[in-house]
Amino acid sequence: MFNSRAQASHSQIRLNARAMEVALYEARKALERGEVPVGCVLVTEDGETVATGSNRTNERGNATSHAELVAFEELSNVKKMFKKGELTLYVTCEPCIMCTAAIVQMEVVGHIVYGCSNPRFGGCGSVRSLDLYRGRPDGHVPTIQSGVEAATAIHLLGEFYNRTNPHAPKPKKRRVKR
Amino acid sequence: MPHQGKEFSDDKDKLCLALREKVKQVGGCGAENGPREPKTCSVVVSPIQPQQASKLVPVLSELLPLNDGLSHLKRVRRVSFAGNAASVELEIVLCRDEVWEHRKADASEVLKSFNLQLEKRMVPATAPLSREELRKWGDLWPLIFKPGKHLHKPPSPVELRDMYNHMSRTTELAESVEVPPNCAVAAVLVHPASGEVVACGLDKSQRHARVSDGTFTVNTKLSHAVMNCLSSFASPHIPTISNEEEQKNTDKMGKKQLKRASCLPNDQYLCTGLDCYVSREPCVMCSMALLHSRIRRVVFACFNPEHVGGFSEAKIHKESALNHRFEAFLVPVKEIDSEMRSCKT
Ligand SMILES: [Zn+2]
Ligand SMILES: [Zn+2]
Repeated sequence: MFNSRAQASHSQIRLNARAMEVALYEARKALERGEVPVGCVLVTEDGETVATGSNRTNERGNATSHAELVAFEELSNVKKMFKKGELTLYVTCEPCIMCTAAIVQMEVVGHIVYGCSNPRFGGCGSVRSLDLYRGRPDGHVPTIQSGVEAATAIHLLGEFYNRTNPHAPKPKKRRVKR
Repeated sequence: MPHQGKEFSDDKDKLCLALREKVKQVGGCGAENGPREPKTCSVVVSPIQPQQASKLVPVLSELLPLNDGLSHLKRVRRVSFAGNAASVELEIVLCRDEVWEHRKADASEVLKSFNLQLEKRMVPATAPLSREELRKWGDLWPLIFKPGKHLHKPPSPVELRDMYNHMSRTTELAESVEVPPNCAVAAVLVHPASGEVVACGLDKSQRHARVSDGTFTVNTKLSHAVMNCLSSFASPHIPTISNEEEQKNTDKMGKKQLKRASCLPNDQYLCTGLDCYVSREPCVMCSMALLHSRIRRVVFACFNPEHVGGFSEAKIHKESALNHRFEAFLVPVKEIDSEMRSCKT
């Protein structure tokens, strides 16, 4: 019994790594388009990808076109019915408050796996938490796993801020301003 | 008919009164809907001679600084006796009651030469957040008021009337497209200076089917009025409302949604400077979407029993950790209209 559990968690770890690799690939595509590099993927229990998304806020001039909502858009074109909590969302950075609320209302996501935390906008513990939605009749509150490939996600974000800010070699000054 | 003009101005006054009474700011610091009752705490004070003040104040700010949450208290107050207006005495605050219990051993030694006669006073425990509170609470003890980020400037009568008009039209738009059993929600973006409607959106999220085996379609779940309004504003050439009948309804208010409105500057950044009117309080997703879009102000006509309220509950718009803050108002047009009607009879 112990053995099978260990095996399950091993295959889980492998699935996590593989799915997060897809999310990171989406994030890199966003970076190439000059967007804040965040990417995500919606995966079934069997590891099948049903939708992907990457940040498109600049491209669309719409501040709500975050990776998660772009993926949900794609999911809405999938002609399929879903069960509550059926999918796992892999996203390179903690979903913001808006996307967290969207995830809860969509009801299809049972589990969120994210890379680095989002101290400025995070809705899964940083600025607000999922407690906001517990005990409500509508929506589905997912479980959370954080820190998967966090270093890579942070590295990508760092690359974006270095690229767009020509005065970047003075990170200390910028931090003081904020 | 000369008396009609009079009646009209009476109506205007009544509306003005109803608006001042019914329009409320939502999720703010608490002082924006009139002065609160002060919370009080006990401090140690002493009467002093006016000539003592200049020596005693610096000694006390060194010895017993009011930096333990009482920095809103002025150190000295004037006490004039009703019987004799000419005799003015001063009263000086030392510190909190419980602080004095800890410090009296060493502090009495330093203060010995001033001959203080200690008494207890109840004073406001927190800083006033509006000028009305400053005035009201100042009867207990004179206070220092710093009009900072908390200062709330109530909307002017003209602003209130504009808010009421836009809110009424948004509610009408919502009702005109209501398809039972779906309760319709409408959102519009308004350029406040020109009063122009620059985008609008309708809720289409209620139309997803839930099947008995526990599965459901996900395609319109997030299609809330605010989200549709924001994407319609972002891509003005792609109307988000495809249904022809809905399109017709939309045109009543939002013809300009197909073309970026002329009132906006060329370098318009997201929704900066724009107000969003929505027929009921936005959910957390929509509230945060408005924050991401840098909205100037949000106005809604009623609370939302279905979702966690983005402003009344989650208080997204007043979160100091986020990069943008704004005001949210409840303008209950239905209540205001029925008050106006009952006034007439
Ligand atoms: Zn987001
Ligand atoms: Zn919403």
